[in-house]
Amino acid sequence: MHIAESPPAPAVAETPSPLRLPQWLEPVRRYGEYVLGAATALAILALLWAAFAYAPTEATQGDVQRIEYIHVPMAWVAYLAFFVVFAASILYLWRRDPRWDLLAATSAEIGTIFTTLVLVTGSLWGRPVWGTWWQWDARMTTTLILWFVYVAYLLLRSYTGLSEGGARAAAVLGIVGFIDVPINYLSVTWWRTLHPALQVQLGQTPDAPPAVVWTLMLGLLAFTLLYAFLMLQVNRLNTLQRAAQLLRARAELESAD
Amino acid sequence: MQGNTFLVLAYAIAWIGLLAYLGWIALRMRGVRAELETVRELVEQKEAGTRGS
Repeated sequence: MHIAESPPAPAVAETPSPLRLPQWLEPVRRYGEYVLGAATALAILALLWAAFAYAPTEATQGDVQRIEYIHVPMAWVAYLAFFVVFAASILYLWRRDPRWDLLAATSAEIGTIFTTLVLVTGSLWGRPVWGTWWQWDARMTTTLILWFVYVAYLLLRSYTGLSEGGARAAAVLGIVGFIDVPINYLSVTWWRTLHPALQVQLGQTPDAPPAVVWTLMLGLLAFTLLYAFLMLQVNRLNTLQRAAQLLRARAELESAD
Repeated sequence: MQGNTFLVLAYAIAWIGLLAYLGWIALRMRGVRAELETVRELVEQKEAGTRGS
């Protein structure tokens, strides 16, 4: 983000104020972050143990299949992050509360990081299993499109600074861009693709052995906790950054008068 | 490269990438603190100017 040059663009109406919790929830505010951080670290350690010691070695792929235990949960977190962008963007356009705009921006940044890692780990799995780093199949292509959409979202935010118009444009992109998420999720069932089909589906008995399914579930838990932890950190950072930029712009304007 | 090399590479890139991201967040937080310090100085200068006039 950068401060708009003089004359300043119409700024987002106000600096987002921190969430006010009732008195009885005060310990949650004070210690919740530490508990979340500790739970995330424990879940990641448990995931690493399960991925390398508990889950069986896959018969045809061998050990390289264990990449799945981080690749699939990271893809889930990317979906979750972009759903949060979608929902927060709708709420921002409806309520015009800058806190929703900040939440969307935070989630888009984290979602883009995870999508990048999904593309990289998927490619590292594909090379020994398929014999190629990349295939233009439906799942991989729609994942790449998703990555471009959210990189464009972050670039748009970066170029438009604190302007309200920029926040509105980003919100529209956040809503429209989300269309690619269900397409990406269902691409393996809609089209014949090289990418493996869904192993675990709601309401159906999984094809994979229980140890594989439990390790995947542990991965989903660990990465969801990591997402929540990162959301807290980056949202606080973005809130402070925006407050500092607005205060500085105001102080400079007053000094110039 | 053997399959295990790809496995190690994937885990290394994922965790190093996430740690690097956490490091970048910490660096940005330092930047914000510096920004807030600049704002504080600006406000103090302005207040000193107001008192002087």
